[in-house]
Amino acid sequence: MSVVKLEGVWKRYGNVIAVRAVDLQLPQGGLTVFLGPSGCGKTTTLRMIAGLESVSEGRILIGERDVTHLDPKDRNIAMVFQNYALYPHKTVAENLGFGLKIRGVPAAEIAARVANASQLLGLAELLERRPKQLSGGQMQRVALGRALVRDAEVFLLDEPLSNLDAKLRVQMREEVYKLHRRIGKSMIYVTHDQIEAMTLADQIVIMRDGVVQQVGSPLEIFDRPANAYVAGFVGSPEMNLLDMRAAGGALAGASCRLRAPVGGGLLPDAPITVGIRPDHVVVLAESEADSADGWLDVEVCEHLGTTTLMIGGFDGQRLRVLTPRSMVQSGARLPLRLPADRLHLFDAASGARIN
Amino acid sequence: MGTAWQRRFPHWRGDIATVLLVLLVLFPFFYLIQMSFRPKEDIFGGSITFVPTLEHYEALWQGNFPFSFVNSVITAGSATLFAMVIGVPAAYALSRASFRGARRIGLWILVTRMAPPIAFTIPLFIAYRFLGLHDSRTGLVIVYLTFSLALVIWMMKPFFDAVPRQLEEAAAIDGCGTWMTFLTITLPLTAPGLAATAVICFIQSWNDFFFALILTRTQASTAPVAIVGFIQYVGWEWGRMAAAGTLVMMPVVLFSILVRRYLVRGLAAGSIKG
Repeated sequence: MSVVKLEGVWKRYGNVIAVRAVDLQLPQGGLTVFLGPSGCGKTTTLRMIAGLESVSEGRILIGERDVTHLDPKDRNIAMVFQNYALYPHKTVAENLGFGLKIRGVPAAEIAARVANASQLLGLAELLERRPKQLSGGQMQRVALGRALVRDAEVFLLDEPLSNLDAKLRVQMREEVYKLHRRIGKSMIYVTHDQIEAMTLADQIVIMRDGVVQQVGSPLEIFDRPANAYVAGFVGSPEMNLLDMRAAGGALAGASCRLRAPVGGGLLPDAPITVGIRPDHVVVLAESEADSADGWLDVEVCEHLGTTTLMIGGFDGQRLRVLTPRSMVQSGARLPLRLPADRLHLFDAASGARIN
Repeated sequence: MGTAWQRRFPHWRGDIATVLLVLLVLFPFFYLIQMSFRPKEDIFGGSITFVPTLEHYEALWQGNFPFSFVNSVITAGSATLFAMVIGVPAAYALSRASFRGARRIGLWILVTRMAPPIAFTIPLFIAYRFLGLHDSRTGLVIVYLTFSLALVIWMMKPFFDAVPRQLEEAAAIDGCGTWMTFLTITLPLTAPGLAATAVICFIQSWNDFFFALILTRTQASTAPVAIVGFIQYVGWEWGRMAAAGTLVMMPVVLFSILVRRYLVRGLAAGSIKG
């Protein structure tokens, strides 16, 4: 059963289209991540679900209820804002309890629920402080807590960790994950950070220019990106995308030929974008050089400790190769194989997946 | 010895200059106050030592001055109250407005203050005679209100602009409607601005001499007008003028001290990570 459903939702600002015909079903109790670069419409979509932004066209349902034209207060949602948006003139306890107070919950119950949430988030010591007396991480916790005390149907999180420093972000990411598992509520989480998306999500929705590119579990998206854009966006270091042409059952580059993972489905001479993840490229030993698909002229060699990332020219194009730690230096020339079963083929014009 | 003294007042040259400047600026005020306590015979005396007397204040109390003072309190107070009640929501609306012509409306509101006040007096005088508002507190309140409204709206708008929208959105999610958000979140955050605006508004009406002189006669005459009344054919009653001036000045001084404390507090700090 879906908890949030979007049916043909559009958002226009005058002539600018921010969100285009989005159809989505978000699973009950799941954590869905909207992932995309800034300006892709993910935050706008979230704000439409929250009711902070009007819907130009289409319907939004929460549970079985059409909420398209309801005020935020009538949607039974809770939200965590990117910059926390804590009420500066209220203490932490008042911030946490404000939503309950407005809804006429008895004071004793507010106190109990605030105590409960602050316990869960380690805020018990800070209840009498005001927001400006808190650190960034503490403010973030209060923002989470404010959403948590409300027994909302859906939790919306708008880039909640983007204002924290890198170390704290990793720590809070973990906490959000545990929190979600513990309370078992449906969450929608907006981020441009693919690592956050991959680690937190039950389901990822990738957006670009207001259009949903792909919906799926993190590994589905990683293993079978629906188009060249998703392929390049998800994964770090990012997937190599090489321009080639179909030639019989094979793929032809400037000088190399790769065995294609599809049979006769390719139009002869059709331009094709060939994707392969850097760690799927096989570096051959000198003795196997005969069976190589081509050679990599290593230009940059990044020794990352556990792994080594080599960047260089392959068949006249740029290629990244990720290998276990090695002693290769820039200037080296290595025989490579690009295994057919690891290749992702995309139509060069539309970017759509072929294989 | 010299070092300790210098450590305590590292900018002593500036400090002395400041004190001198302050004395210079405040001299008329001090002169007025001391004059109000000086005996009539010695009113322009230069001596610093004199026996203070309350005779001028007593004379004021027995005359018509208390009535004018009350008129001043009522007209300035009411004008401020109404200007705030009407102007503050208007400023909020203009701050959050996304409708067409919002900027133009803001400008038109300011137009009421663009012409010199004297330009309005003759039309106002004639209209008030016709409407029966001449020499009435209501009439005076209406005039003050029209001038204060523009002030309130234009002073409060930047304060509302400074309140982050996210706070209101958070309140909306928490369950507040528009009015509730305004009253529980936005308004408390602009408290320093409200206080400052109210006081400036009050001072403006309180200090008005011009309109009170033209539009009132006896029933609604205010304290500043009453002071001029002490310039009489038989002589100028300097002592009473000084005492009345001191009394008129007091609320303004008190309010200003109050506002100062509010203005220093930055309530909005720390809400949003900058």
